[in-house]
Amino acid sequence: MELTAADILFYLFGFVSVVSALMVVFVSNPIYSALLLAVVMSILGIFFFNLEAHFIAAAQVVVYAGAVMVLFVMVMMLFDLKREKEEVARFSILTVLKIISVGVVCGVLVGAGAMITGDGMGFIKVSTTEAPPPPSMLLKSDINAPTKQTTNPEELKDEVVEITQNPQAGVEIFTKYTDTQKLSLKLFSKYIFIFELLSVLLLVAIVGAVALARSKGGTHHVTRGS
Amino acid sequence: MQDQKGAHTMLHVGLNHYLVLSGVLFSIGVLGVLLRKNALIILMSIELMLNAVNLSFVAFSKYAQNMDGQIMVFFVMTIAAAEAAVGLAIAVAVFKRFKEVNIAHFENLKG
Repeated sequence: MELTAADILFYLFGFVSVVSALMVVFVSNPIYSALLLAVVMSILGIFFFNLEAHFIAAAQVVVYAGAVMVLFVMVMMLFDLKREKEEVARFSILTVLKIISVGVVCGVLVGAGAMITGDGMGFIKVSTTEAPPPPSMLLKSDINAPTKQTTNPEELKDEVVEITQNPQAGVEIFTKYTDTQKLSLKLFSKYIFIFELLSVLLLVAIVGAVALARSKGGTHHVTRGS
Repeated sequence: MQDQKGAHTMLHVGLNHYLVLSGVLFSIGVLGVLLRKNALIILMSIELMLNAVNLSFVAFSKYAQNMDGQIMVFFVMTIAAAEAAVGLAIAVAVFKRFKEVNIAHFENLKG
């Protein structure tokens, strides 16, 4: 029984991420919380990379660890944080109840996560150990030319038509392209409507955030009449 | 013999390990939302929960050999960014009015 380097790294980073997440919750200074949350998000980016989701890993680091956390820290700079250093909620019956209920939730989630096996889920085929796709998933052309990458736009268009008209074709696509190509093929064919809806959502969020933050007065006391 | 094999698969990282880690992180996020009174920490805990869910999505995507999970992560990221922007705008509005970001003040916020 030997642990591979990937396993050891998983345990190491998993431990660090859980400890950092706990400190996000229990550290009293919000700035420290934000920085620790950036640590957790970067580690999750590493996990995504390890899970062969390269584009998602990059987006995780750029969007979360970069943009969202910078937004948080910037908003904190607007506040007068001296009074914000408050302790965690006082010890009471309610606190005990909250902790117990979170323990139950944690137990259910961890138990479910630990028990899922390949046969346990009827609706999705999962192999709990890393296995190459069975030969039936491969296209004939892949077997002949396993590393062939299609960049010809005509062929790409054919694949898009194939995905939208035949759901089973998605499985075959999986073996043919690089990661990010596969992601974009699905995003801009099968999920194009949701993608457009998200752009509308972002517009609504922009307008809402500006409208909320734009009301009268600043975040600090200023002399009247300026 | 059987036990040894079981121990080997227990330690070897697979889908279950990622799901367990995801569940633990999600629970820590719930703990933060329930225990803290600072609105900023609550928003951060929500981000933590969304990230934990993203981890399970990507793990399923890898082990089911299906890209749809990653697409879902993409959407969740977008929604999380929008949510953070609006939530922080509300926090700024609360701070302007009450000079601290405690969720006890949120019930007094009328437009």
